[in-house]
Amino acid sequence: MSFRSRFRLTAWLLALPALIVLALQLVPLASAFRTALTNEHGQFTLQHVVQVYHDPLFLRAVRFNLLIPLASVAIEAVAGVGMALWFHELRRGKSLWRTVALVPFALPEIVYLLTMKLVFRQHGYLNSLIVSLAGNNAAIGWLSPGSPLAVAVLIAVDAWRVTPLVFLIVLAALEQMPESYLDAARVDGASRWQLIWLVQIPLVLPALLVALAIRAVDAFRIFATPLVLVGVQQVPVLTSVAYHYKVEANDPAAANVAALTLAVALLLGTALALGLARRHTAQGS
Amino acid sequence: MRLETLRQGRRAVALNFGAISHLLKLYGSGGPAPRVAGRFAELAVPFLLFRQTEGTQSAQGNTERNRSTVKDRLRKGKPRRHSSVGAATIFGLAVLALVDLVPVYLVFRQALAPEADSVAWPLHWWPSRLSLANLSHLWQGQPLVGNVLLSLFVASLTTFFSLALGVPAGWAAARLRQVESATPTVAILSRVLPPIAIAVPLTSLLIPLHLYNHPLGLGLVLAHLTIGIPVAILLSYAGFRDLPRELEEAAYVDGAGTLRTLLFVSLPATRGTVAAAAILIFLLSWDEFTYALLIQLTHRTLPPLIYYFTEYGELGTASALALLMLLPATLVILGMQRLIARGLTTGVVKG
Repeated sequence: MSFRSRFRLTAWLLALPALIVLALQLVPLASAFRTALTNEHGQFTLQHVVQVYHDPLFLRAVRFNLLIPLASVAIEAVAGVGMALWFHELRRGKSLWRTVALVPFALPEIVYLLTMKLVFRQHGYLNSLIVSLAGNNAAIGWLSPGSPLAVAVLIAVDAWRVTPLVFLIVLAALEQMPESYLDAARVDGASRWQLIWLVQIPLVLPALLVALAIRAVDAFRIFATPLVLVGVQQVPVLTSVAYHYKVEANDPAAANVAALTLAVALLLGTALALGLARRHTAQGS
Repeated sequence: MRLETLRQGRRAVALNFGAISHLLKLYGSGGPAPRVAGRFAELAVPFLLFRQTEGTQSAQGNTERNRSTVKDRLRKGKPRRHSSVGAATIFGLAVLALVDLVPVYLVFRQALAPEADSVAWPLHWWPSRLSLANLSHLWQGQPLVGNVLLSLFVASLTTFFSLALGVPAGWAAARLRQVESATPTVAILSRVLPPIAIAVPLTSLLIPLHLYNHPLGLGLVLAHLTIGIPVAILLSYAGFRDLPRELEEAAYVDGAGTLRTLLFVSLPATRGTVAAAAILIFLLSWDEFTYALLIQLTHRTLPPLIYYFTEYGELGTASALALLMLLPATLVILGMQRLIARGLTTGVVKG
């Protein structure tokens, strides 16, 4: 055997054990489809799917699973770009403040959610502050059951945690941009707002889109935030409903239907987005 | 200008979808260490992107860019036209610090205050006295030390197996085109699938294997490998790809086989990257919530344990555990600068 072919063989043999990662995902996935689509006799059935798709809890989860991620990503886009433009102008202590801005993102998710629980719960620090300023009746039910306010708080909490990611990617793109672009625009008499809207934002748009693409996938997989802050029944999302079916209702088939609904939607969405990006890139070159 | 936009756009897309590793490789090639660790995986991506832009700006050979840097340097000291270090900036920074840092302080305050403080209303912002009562739950009553050790064990085992399986694959991907073209699929799949879609069926599959709710968390380690191995592959792939081929070829000429070359030449040369991957995987496993919640029903690791204490309103104990959860990341931040500095000075390429 020549050195070259022996080399190739070794490389393949070294790569193969890592395929366990595929097995660890595809085997459960296949099992999930089987559980979701067969009855107790192992025959194909849609009964679990029909049953879950008629469950009011699931239907609410679908709505929240669209509303929360979309709103959250929109906020992140605005806040991230705004912060990046602002930080770009900062002259002193930039790295220190960047570190501060990163704190929510750097915390473990559960710790961040615990801090938010401490702040927003009925007897939490925010209400404590409000009460000591404005009297006992001023307390607000930030996370109270069934209120739209709770959903708004969830969106804000989710958005605030990952805004630093968008912010950093956009800031990187801004810092990369040659100062001469701005100089040229200034010479042509552009105002501050025109600089932002006509020069800076168009130029960071590709980076922003990438950041939002990364974020959108995570946003649709939202799980811990609504679960920890308000619970499954108040604001259900697909992941937490799947958890509820599995652990609290002990109905694995329903749990798999809910989880697979999200998984399939995400895989299709990602494939579509990647395809579009590829076509766009091909046209660009 | 339009052309430049397109070029930047293509670059950004390539940077992201081509391989996250393209950004992460800078870790190995010696960009200054990120000062903030913690949620490291996702954190590392933007941070290194950022470092890259800072580091390579002058090295790009783009004369226009160089000129502007020089101009910037000349301009330093003189007030800029748009400098607005005024009340608005200070106010903004104050709000930022308040919103970001006060909640973290509250965890410390909650963990270190006596139980009686929680009854007061309005709440005190400062503990009436420092108390270790919450922390003492760790070893008193139903001791929680076991949960801490379980978390440590799961994270360590995940790190070990992820590296053992992922680093050789990363090397193969860097050296063999066919393997290289297969890696993004693996990476993207684990990035897109919601953990819950794996966790729900996986629990059913683990029961007959006696790995469900395993006292040593072995089933959870299997689940965490789906997160750890892709990270190990991507990071080590980037490290090995940047390694000059001549180094390995010299070893082959001297009569070393492929495996020996990998173990004794390539691996030591990229140990900075591998160390970074190890830290990252450890923290990812340590922080992981979804799998842990579903697979470890009674033998809980720290994140689901904090969730349960939060659910039962024992926020003091939850906060004490949260402080523990912050420890590894803090140690990483403290140790990072030295680690990276050493990696720089002993790097083969730069040596």
